[in-house]
Amino acid sequence: MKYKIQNKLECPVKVADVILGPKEVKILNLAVKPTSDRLIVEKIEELEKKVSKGGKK
Amino acid sequence: MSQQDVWSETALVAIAAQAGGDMAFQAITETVDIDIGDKDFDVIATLSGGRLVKFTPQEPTTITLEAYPVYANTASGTTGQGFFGMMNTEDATEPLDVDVDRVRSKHRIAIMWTDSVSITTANAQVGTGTYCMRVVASDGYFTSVKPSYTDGILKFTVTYKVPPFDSSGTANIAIQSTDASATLTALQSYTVTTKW
Repeated sequence: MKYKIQNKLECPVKVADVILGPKEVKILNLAVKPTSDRLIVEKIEELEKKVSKGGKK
Repeated sequence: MSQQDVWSETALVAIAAQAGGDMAFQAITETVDIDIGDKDFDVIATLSGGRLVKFTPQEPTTITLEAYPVYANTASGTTGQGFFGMMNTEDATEPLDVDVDRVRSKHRIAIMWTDSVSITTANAQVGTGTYCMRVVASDGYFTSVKPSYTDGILKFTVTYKVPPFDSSGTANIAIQSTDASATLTALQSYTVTTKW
């Protein structure tokens, strides 16, 4: 599953072998959704749904 | 409660990465040693027999913890579980894998003694009627994490080092207390611009 993940911290954080720099955002393909409070995690599918809903309006 | 004769037995320890939340470490910490940097001086003896004082810039402060973590770092939450992630890149997902690297991350550490039994975090507000003393150090780095298993128990000696001032000359260390007559406010979230 693809997730848009943002590092909340001002220092690097490792997410499943990928290092996110301070405040960096990356899209990662992960088997399990990260639950750490150091991260802002959004499923890419949910983002796409939001975009399409916005388009209908 | 009445005024304390001494602070003893218990203390609260909170550590935060910059832009991260405070994590409580008192549950796994046994000792705290705060070596506030010396404001030393040299003495120059003059020919008249007098002495001139030449001040030496204040030395860095070192805080040493002896602790018993069982994990590599704290992946999430407000309870501290490990120290290696503070000296290297922290892993936010299980299983934890902290690789040694060249990353140096700024952290804040707060240590508080209080007579309150309801306050459970070193960064908390201390209201009137409650005594406390708190030492806060910001923009410092964890310079040493040394595990030892010589006594049959895995004990970590952890060293945090902080210069007295940042590059702008702003203080990196604060020592706070209240005699129960006034409220000591909670530490603000630690960010690039807010130290405490």
